[in-house]
Amino acid sequence: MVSAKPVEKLKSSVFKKNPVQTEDSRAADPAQVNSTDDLGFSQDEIKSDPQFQKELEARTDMLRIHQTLGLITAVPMTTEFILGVVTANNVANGGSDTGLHATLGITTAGLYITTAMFAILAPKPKGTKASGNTELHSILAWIHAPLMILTPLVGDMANDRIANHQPVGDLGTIHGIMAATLLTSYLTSLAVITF
Amino acid sequence: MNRTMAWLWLLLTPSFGIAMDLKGNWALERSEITYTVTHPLHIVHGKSLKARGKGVCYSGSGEFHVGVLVNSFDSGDNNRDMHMLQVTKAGLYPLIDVKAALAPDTVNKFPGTIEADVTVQFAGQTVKFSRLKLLGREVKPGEALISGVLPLKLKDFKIQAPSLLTMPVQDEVPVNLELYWKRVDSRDLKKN
Repeated sequence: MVSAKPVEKLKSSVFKKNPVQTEDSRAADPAQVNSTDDLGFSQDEIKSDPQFQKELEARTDMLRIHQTLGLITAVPMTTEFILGVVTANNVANGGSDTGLHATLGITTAGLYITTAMFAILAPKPKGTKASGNTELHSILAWIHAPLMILTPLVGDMANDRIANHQPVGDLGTIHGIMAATLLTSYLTSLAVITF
Repeated sequence: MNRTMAWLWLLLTPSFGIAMDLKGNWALERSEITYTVTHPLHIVHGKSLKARGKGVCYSGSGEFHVGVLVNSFDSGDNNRDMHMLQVTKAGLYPLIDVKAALAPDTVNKFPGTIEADVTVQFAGQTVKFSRLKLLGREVKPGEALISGVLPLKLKDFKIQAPSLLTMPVQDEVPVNLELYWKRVDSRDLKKN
């Protein structure tokens, strides 16, 4: 890369309003050539908009928190999935202690909702529209967000049956499939976001 | 001997005989301006096709002025583009303003490598590039292509490098320019 060096002397006043005289009678007034107003942009396009900048700053701040919390949430969510597999094995072998799995599930859901709120409540400045990987990130949210609600509910139903010494039936399997889909879609939505 | 001289004349004529006359007024017909951001995990290109510009050449020198809106760059991901607008303070400084003064006698070297003193106003800062090398060629009669790379650095414009997973992008953000200029008369320049 060539480093940017200040021009020591811009001789012949190339950007000054009093240009060198041209021999070419067709040449336009260089002041006109150098006028931004004359490039054809509308005043709306080139005017400073501090409110827009403020919204961009607030959006970036909130999405930065969203990104950090999203990464943090991935840890208890993955742990919760592994713990769920262990708990399912214990239940299959006659155990009934699901307390730790339930507690970590509530914690994960709390972190997830907090993470989501920073994205939902972030300002949407003009021109904001999901595209590229961000669009994929948003589409995946439509998969893992409902699952983040439904998976604990199904788990709670299964937990009630275990606590009442009733057969769990297919609830455990459904809960497991939902949890696996939730974790996969969530980790994928993390991976697709770049910066 | 005469035949040898004739061949020599034919071979050497292009080197001193067919330089394109740039004198006159020029308007930017179309353009492709592409920045490249390098992150340890990936490389991103953002492109704008919406630059506008004008120029005037005299005998031996010339001045060109190009403007492009920051929000006209598309990297293929709107979230990234919005982040780019934020770090470049596009709300406050929506226009990238580039002025180039062709180095004396460069005009006579066209087509070929030309040199220009380039001033870039961007993100509230002004940076000057001295004797930047650009490539110029005639596309068709009355139309010229100027291409080259602006070696922008984020720090020069006091732009905080965006980061992902605590890893910032590289400071160097080369901007590739492909500017197609069309010869116009001064009335067209005023209208344009």
